[in-house]
Order: sequence, then structure tokens, then C-alpha cells
Amino acid sequence: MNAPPRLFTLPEPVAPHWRHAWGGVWRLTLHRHFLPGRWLMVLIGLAVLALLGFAPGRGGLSRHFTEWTVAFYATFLVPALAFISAAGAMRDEMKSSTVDYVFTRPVRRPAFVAFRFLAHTVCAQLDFLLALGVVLVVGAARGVPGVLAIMPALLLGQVLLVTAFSALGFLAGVLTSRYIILGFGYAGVIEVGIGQIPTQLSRLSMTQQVRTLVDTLLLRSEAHSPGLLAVTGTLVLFTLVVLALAALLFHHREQGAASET
Amino acid sequence: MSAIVQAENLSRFYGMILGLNNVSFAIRPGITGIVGPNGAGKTTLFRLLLGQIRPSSGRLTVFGEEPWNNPSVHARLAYCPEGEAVPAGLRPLEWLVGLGMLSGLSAPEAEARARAALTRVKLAPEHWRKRVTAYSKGMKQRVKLAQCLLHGPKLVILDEPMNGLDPVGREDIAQILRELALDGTSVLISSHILHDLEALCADFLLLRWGRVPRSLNDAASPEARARWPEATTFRCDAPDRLARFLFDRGLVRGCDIAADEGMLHVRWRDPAQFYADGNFTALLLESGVHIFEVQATASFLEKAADPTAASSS
Repeated sequence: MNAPPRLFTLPEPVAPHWRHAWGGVWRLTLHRHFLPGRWLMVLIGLAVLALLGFAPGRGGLSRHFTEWTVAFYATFLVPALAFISAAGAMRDEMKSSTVDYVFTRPVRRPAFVAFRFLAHTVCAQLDFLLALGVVLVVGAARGVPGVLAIMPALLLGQVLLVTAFSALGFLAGVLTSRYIILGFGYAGVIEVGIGQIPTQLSRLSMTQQVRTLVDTLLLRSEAHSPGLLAVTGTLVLFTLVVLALAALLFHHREQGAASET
Repeated sequence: MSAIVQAENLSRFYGMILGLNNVSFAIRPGITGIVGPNGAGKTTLFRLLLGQIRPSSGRLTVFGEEPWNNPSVHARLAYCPEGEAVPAGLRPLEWLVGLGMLSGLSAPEAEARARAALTRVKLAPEHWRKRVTAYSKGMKQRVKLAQCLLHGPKLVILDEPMNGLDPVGREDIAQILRELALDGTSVLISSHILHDLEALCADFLLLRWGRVPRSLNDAASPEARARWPEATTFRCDAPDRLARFLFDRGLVRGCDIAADEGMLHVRWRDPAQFYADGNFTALLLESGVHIFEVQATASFLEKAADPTAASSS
């Protein structure tokens, strides 16, 4: 009996290439970011944010609105959502749908964490840019004077906080599936606890750093407030240290062992 | 021929749970079947080979290198897992291009290879626009196999790739695996569909309770498999008449008849008496019974996969 005709010849082996690997992680992240179901959730979130934006200072005072955007939106909502979103993304990468296909390919795990963080953070920045747009529109609709003027400071603070808290989310996601509890612990001890102590220790709080920066940029704080570069440097350093820790832990983590029998 | 996989006193435990227990074996190039009942340690072995988990003790090498966290080994491997979990929301081309790029391909090359691989696994282009999560089990198996073909691996590891496929689909997959072997790619495959494995594999590694039982693996050696089967099952229109015919000729030591299913299970006095010289077809014709199927009963693989059989090493 004749052998059936060959339909396929295996292509040539390919050598690992870090730039292409980054492209692969970026594409896989981007495709998932633009899923219709996900965007529905984002739109609902933006609508809720708009509703919340109309709540504070019904008298239309600009001070109330600015306080709300700094205290609630920029230093609570943005870090909390950035943390949850990043931790969830990292947990997704530990499911078999990723483990069995991605981590069987020649990408070093620390490099994967860095690529995934970059891709996730870019996507998250886009989401939060929309949210900031909603804040701007709400402020304008309420007739808050000077709402446009506070936007550059808020944008800078938002970019820094999304980056830093995404890194923290990645670390929490690598550590545990109960990352929300870890987040509460961190928020309680560092952000709410130490961050409120009126000493140099409060600089450990990233939201406090950004709040001081935004206040400085809005010309509302004391003369001794840390400068733009100092705050930016601190948040970048925080991001790098936390991300390096996440990458190190992930490198040594066994994958797929939980599903064993 | 040098081994592509070499294990020496390899063990893997999950706390108190045993995965693999002090096993030593070598896997040669070609298509090798990994056989054993559930819990035998097949998936543990695959995860060790893929470098996803570390050995608790002993040594494992793939292409002469330890696979744990080793991109040099990963570059030469491909894995088709048993689970159906696939990333949510992705279409097959999007997914395969991303994975191809992770393996080192440029975007255009990854797309070209993804298209070729999807075509080869016979996933019709009209399904390429659907999301993989919406696929049937059989279609998912095809995409999962396609992602193994992107980067020219030297070893493809497949965990139950035939699950959910109809006989035509299983033959398609078997044909692809044979072509891979012709290209010099080795294949490790586990499957509960044992007759498919027997037809496909040149070699076998039999696992039971985390061990590699020597007696079973000896029975699965190419030399042992060249021997005639000790028992045979016939599906025919008159199993009792066929049994009497074979008994009259002194060929049979014992038999079981399932008349309502038209089945006759025969244990040979001396298998060579029946099979040797190739005249058994004439003998069966002489019986006058219409025979629809002849199959070796309880092959070495079935024995190996039977969890109730006593373990031996």
C-alpha cells in the first residue's frame, strides 16, 4: 500500500529573539484588551465615575471638585483599580491557558514579566486616560472654573500612580491568588497608616508622594514640598524594585504543579 | 541512536503525594507512546520535560540539558496539553501569531507559519474568524496541535491529543505525527486510545503509580511486540460456531462468548499455531463464519493501562 501524500513539511527551527518575543506579548495583551465584553465593563465603569463626579460639592465650588479629584479619584480610585487590574492580569498568566502555551516557549520568565508589565501598563494608561477625560468632562459640565488647568498635574500623577501600582499588583499577583487581601494590608499599613504620619516616614506612601506633587503643581503646598523630579524618581524606583522582586519570584516559581494528581 | 531524553533516579513529589518515584529511562528519537492509568505520573513527566517543575531528586536531561527554566531547551520543544483551557477572546490566527513571535518569529513569518499550520491541521478557514473559546473540543485539539508546528520543534509532547476527535480526525493527527517523525522531529504522546498508540508508536514508556515497571516495559519492547498475541477477539455472526471450529482443531485453551454482541474472545494454546505461516485467513474462511473484525485481546498496552493489575518492577 502506498503511503499517503505528505501535506506538510515542518518549517525551519527558529532561534529565540527578544524583540519578537516582546511583540508576541504585546499582541496577545492588546487583543485581549480590546475584547468587546471588556470594553462594556470599562464603559460601565466610566459611567459610574461620571455619576460619582457629579456628587461632591453640589454647590458647584471648584475647591470641592478639585478635592474630590485629588483625594478620591487620583489617590484612591486610580491606585486601587490599577492594582486590582494588574494583579488579575498576572494571575491570568498563571492559568493553564497561558502556562501551557507561553511558558513552554523560549522566553526567560523575568523578561516575560517585564514585557507583560509594559504591555499591561500601556493598556491601563489608555483606560485611565479615558477616565481622566470623563473627570474633565464632568468638571466642565458642572462649570468648575479652571478644571482644564488642573489636568496636567492630575495626568502626571495618574501616569506615575498607574505605573507604580501596576507593578505592586504584579508582585501581589505573583505572591497569591488572594491579592485583594494583600492590597488591603498594604493600603492599611503603608498608605493609610504610615502615609498619614507627619514625618519623613510618610514618603513611603506612594499616594502621599503623588498627592504632594499634585498639590505642589497646583501651587497649594508649602515651600518644602519635594520637587517633581524627586517624586518621579521615587515612584520610578519603587516601580523598578517591586517589579524586580515580582520577576525574581516568578522566575523561581514552579508552573502547573497545582494541577497535578 | 543517542537518547533525546534521559532520566536517572528521577523523583518528583508534591508534599506527601507521589508524582514520579525514582525512575530511570531513556527515550530515543521517533514516536514514543507514554502509557499508564490515571495518576501514573504522565503529566508530571511532561511538566518535568517542559521545565515547568523541578525534580525533587535525580536528574533529567532533554537534548543533553536540564530543562528547568532553560530557554535553549524550550526553543526545541512544543507542547500540546490535555486541558481545553485556551486564552479567552482570541481568534486562532491572533493566538498563533502571538505564540510564534514568542518563539522568536517575526510577525509576517509567524502569520505565514500560523496559516500553514492551521491549514495542515485541517481547520477550515471559515472557522478562523471565530474565537477559539467558542470552538468544539475537536477544533480546539486541532488549533492546539497547530501551535506546536510553528517554530520547527525537535521534540513535540502531546498529552491526550486524540481526545474529542472522531476516527477521521484521529487519523489526521496520526498522519501529521508521522510526517513530523519523517522530518526528524521526535514525538512523545500519551493517549487513552490505545489501539491508536499501538498503530503509531515505535516505542513505549509504561508508567504505573509513578514508577516505570520493568516487567511491563519489557513486555512493551519491540522484540516482545513482535510475538503473536496470546488472545484474540473476533466479531462475527456466529461466535459459538467459530469457537467450536477452533476447539475442534486443538487451537484454543479457553474462550468467552458474548453471543448477543457477536463477540468471541479466544485464548490460544499456542498463538503461533494460529498466526504463523500467514494461513489463518484461509482457516477462518474454512470455518464458514462471517467475520467482521479480528483484534488482539488485552494487548500489552491495555494491561499497562489497567489500574487494577498488580504493579511490578
